[in-house]
Amino acid sequence: MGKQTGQQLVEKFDHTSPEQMNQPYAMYQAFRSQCPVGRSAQHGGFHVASRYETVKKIFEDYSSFSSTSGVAIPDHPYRMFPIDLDPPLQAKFRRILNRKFTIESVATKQAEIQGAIDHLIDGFIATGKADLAAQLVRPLLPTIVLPLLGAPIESQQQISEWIELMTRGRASDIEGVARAGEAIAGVLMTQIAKRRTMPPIDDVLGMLLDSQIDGKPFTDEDIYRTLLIILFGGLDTTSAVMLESLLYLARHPETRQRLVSGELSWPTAIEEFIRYTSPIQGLRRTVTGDVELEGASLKSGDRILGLHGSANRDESVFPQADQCLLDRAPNPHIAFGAGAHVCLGRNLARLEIEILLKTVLARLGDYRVADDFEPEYLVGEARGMKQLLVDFTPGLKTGQ
Amino acid sequence: MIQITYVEHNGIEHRVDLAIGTTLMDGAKDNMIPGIDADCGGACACATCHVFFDAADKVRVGEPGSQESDMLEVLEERHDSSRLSCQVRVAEALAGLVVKLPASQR
Ligand code: HEM
Ligand code: FES
Repeated sequence: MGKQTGQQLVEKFDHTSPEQMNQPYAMYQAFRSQCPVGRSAQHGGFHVASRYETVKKIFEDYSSFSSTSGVAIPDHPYRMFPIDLDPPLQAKFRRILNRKFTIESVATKQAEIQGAIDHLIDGFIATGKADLAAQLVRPLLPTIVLPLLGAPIESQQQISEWIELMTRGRASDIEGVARAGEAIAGVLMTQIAKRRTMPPIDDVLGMLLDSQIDGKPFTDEDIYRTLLIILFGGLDTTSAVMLESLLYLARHPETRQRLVSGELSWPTAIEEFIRYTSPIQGLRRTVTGDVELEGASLKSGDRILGLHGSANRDESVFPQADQCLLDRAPNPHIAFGAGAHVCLGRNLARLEIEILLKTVLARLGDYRVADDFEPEYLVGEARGMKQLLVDFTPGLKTGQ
Repeated sequence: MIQITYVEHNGIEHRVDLAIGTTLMDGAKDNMIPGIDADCGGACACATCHVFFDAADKVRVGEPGSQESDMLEVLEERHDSSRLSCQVRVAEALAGLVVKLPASQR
């Protein structure tokens, strides 16, 4: 890679390529220093922005950089709400949804999250080894978000299994993934119709059934498009941070100690884990009118990928950006996005990450990864570790 | 620096000094005044930094721009003097201003 210029690298840049995305940070560094707004020739051609200030501006300036043609490259034909909308309509959705995702509102889930984590750990603690990705982190997240959304209780286990199948099968089993997706759609659409006939329940679905925008109630399809992004938006992203943090702590026992003793602040450390991981490496916007951006000419209708993953490693904002410094402050990372679409689930994600890490340190206190463990990443909308094999001194189940 | 008073929905007052050129949203955030969420960080894109004023102050605060007007449409509780606080710059002319906060930003 050393000999290619930033310009040449950008031209070949493909955020869906496992080879490029397993270790993308040196490449981003070359983009930022040599070609801050470049053009990739992949996937039909798109601009690529890599510097912090530019990426932030793209996500903040919704009138120049719109979400209404989708936020993914390659295009995702199915539109979801509010992610594929622009303000002011997007803001109307957010005013409704935000209520269920405030710090105060997610705090009421604390005991439920703790219980779900303990239950999963009970499943393997006696054996002294585990794949923390497949046995703890991935199965955990649907069990938290499905009840919050209002998915039928009797189908939650089944939906979690379909989701796991989708995550594992993404590269190899396209058909199986599509079938699982359809099955989830079937369950959710049935539930929406059924809940219209039932007394109100206090969850996200209940709130959507009870709300209106500009005097109009939501259709079943509107509600489905909204539930779907809330369900999937929080899975690969949150699990990516959890696994990256667990790996980091396995490799840095002295840091583990500083967290347990209270010398390091948990909220500060978690923001740094989130910055360092940047599960969403980049998202698309569509240019609404001809503009110049750092010397590049963008035409109306062009697609541009703003790289959160690169912005969060920009040395001009984050000194020693490639280091995970758990006492980093201030930490104005944009891993949760910037501007109108700033992550709806950020308070929930932070809470889930904190409880998970604290519980692992308390219950699997001496967990280790093999010295030669090299993480492999699943790439797609989010970049996250496939597997995290650890061993530890076997322990007792809760209540034993 | 000029003095500004934020008044929460329940009547609690916060008197603070703000630097010229910052925004009324920055002033509330920097002084940890509850009642301004400012989710979008000042991009005029979320309408969770809504404030309003006494009728007599409407002129010196000024009118919203066109993008801000569109965003104000999002509010259920809108006043004649409503503004998004991230779009109001602190200037000498605002010395002594009383900024009123709505019951909720959601
Ligand atoms: C560490 C974990 C997470 C990360 C890094 C993350 C990242 C992001 C990013 C970058 C966006 C901006 C999208 C855009 O600009 O178009 C976003 C939006 C969103 N996120 Fe998250 N997310 C996380 C967790 C969650 C969770 C737990 C949920 C829900 C339970 C969630 C639900 C959503 C939704 C619904 C949106 C769309 C908001 C809108 O368009 O207004 N996310 N997230
Ligand atoms: S902070 Fe979002 S509109 Fe003012």
